[in-house]
Amino acid sequence: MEKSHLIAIVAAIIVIVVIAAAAIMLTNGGNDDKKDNGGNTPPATPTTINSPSEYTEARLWVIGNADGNELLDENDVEVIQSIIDAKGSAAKYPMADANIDGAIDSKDIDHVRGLINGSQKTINYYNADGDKSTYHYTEKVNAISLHRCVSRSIILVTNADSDRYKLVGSDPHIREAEFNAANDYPDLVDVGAAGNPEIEQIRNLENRYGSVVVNLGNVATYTNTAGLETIFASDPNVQIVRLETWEGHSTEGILTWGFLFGGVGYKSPAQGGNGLSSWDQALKYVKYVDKYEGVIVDEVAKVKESDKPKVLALYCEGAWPNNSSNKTRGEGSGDMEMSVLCGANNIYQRFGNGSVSYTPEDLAAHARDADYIFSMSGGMFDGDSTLAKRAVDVFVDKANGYITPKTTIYSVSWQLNGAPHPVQAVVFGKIINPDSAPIQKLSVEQCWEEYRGLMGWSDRPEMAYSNLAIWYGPSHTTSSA
Amino acid sequence: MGLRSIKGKGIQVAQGADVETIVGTYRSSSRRKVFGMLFFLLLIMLASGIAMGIGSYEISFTGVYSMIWEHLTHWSDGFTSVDMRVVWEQRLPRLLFAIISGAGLAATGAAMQSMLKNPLADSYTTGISSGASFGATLAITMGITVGGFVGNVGIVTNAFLFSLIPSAVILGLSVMKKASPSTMILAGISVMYIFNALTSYMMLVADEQSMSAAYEWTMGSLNKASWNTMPIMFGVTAVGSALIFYMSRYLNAMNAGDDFAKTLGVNVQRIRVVLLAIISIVAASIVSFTGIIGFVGLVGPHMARIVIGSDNKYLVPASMLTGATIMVVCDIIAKAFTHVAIPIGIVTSLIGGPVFLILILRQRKEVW
Repeated sequence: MEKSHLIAIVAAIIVIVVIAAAAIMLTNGGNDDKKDNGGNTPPATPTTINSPSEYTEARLWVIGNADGNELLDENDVEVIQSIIDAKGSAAKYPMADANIDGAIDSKDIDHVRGLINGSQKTINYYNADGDKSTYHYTEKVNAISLHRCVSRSIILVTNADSDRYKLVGSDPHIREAEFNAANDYPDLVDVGAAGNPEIEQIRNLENRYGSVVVNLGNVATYTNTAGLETIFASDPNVQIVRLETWEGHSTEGILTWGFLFGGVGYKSPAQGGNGLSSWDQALKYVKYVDKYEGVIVDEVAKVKESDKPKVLALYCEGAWPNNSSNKTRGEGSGDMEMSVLCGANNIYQRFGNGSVSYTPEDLAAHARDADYIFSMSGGMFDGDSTLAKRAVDVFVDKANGYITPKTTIYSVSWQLNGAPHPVQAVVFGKIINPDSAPIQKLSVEQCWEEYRGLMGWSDRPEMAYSNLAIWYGPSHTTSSA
Repeated sequence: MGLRSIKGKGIQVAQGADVETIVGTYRSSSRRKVFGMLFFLLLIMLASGIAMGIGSYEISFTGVYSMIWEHLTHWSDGFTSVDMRVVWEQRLPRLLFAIISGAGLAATGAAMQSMLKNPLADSYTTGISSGASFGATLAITMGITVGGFVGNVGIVTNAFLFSLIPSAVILGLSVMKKASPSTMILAGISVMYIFNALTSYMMLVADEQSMSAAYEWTMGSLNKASWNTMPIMFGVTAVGSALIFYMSRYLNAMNAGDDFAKTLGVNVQRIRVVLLAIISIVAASIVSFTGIIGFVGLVGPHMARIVIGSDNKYLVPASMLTGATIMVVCDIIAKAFTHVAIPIGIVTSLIGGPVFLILILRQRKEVW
């Protein structure tokens, strides 16, 4: 090698080493010398930060809920401070970026403290599609709900104080017997189909009440509502709020609704609040959920995966008055997720991903080792238990000879999807875990009656547990050949 | 020496040929038609054999046929295994459903094409599919059924009765206004738009489960095949196809044009009304059980026409065979390539479209 070439190579190596050393100094050197405003040495960088890395790991989906529990309080401020000290990024700790400016800094602490003391009226949250959204706190909430599951959630949180919170509009599902709309919401306006509400009706309600909040679920389900945010983007008096109900995180959805409507500047009764905030209601609901589902989750955690019973939930043609589908209830149906929560090994994927059509031959091919099959039924709130019984009888007739008599068949009301999540959990939990004493001690009736109280239905005798048809069974086929 | 064709028979003989040559050519042509039909028959037997061996439940290919034989020879024992039950209660009815519906749709399609002298006509040209779709959607999404029937019976009843309404409108036009074939087609299209609009509205306001069920119905499926539903569909299709075959000479005359048919003494208007009624009832009976299965009624007759020619005496039964074959082959495809059987209406449209294009490009003009 020529001498000049050798000198060039050595020089290049030296330059690279110098640049690397400078980079290391610039990125790490500052920390050792950083001092806070008071001239004191800051605390040692914590090795772990307890903040959810995804919003779905949090209970309350308000951004600023840095510790991921169901409250927005000083604990969240401490966690945000820890993240600032560790120079954590918003990408790694999304729930700490309260003002959603892409950085975690003192402004986020100010934002959270403002929400706590009531001075901050802008609430950023994750919606049902996982998008960051913004809600502007209003003193009065005039709610429009789209779809029965959303209606349940909204009625639950607005049940607190009818002066502050009012259900003013809904899709036609509100006419179902469950909601007693004619008596309880006589001024309610029909705004059209849940998946395609009429813009003019929403504007009418805006004009009448000054401001409205349109509540619905994810864009994929409410397919023609994707443009709502754009239509009302420049109208501060119409806010679109998409939160989960049946999609899988109904508790988180209700909690977040409760905070959006009544959590800013919240004062508990001990602090002088009157206990009528939608946030009070939501917190009561969470306590109610944990009372029942906490038991189930704890017990299920003790069961080995291989010991979990094989379960399938499905629709059966003929079990409903008009529905002609034979479909499994797979991922995204809510029923699959519920059965897994309650300790099942759900075998829906043998039939295909999602909710798919099946034939008796498919049952013979994939479900002969099923321990439980749930034939979903409707009609729970119509006071007609024949639908629950029919859901079992029709399925037994169809499946006779294709599944074994060892499989136990139940109907569970499909109407349980949505807000009364714990009630369905107790039903599924007791069926799927016959050997768990704590789960067997749970009472479906008690669980339903507590929910009835939260919904403000205590003065409606037709909503008493004895008048409902939540489930039916057990039943079995008589032939396996 | 030039050629002359014997009109409508697709036979060409040299000008000035003697009688023996003409007769010989005619007999040769007839033999070709018969062999063609035998070929279609073999095709459908082969396809049926393959179709019976495919399904989600694992049974060996030979096991399927041993189950059929065992049950036939020990009928009083009933079903002695799950394998036997799957073959006899699921696969065999499904196969027969495919054959009957394919045969019926193709026979009615052949009749429509000849009667309206339009190669694009099929049994749905009168708007039957839109009427059936409306009736089924009304039952599924609104729970409104004729006679108050619930569940599947309500859906089938609604689909059947409402599918006849568009045909009734066209028949009325034909009787009162002595409508021409093109007027009838246009009337069918306008009725189709009305029913489609109403169906779309019902789906729009329905809840997601009902909308999904209604939409699935419109895609066509053989999943409702059972021995209980077979007799109605088979009976109506068999009788209707036999009547269409019986009237094949009128179809031949009408295929040559209304004026030509009148010179042969055919009461064109009356025959058209009768044929429309038969076609409507056969197609309605199929659609009410299977949903909308497209292209079979259009492509089946064209496939038959390539081999058989346009003589309806041969074309109608040949169309039944090609239609049945198309359905069985599409059912094989629907079950073979995916975990979940694709609705057969999707497969027939997916396959039928390109096949129809090929047929159009390769068509022998003299057979039309």
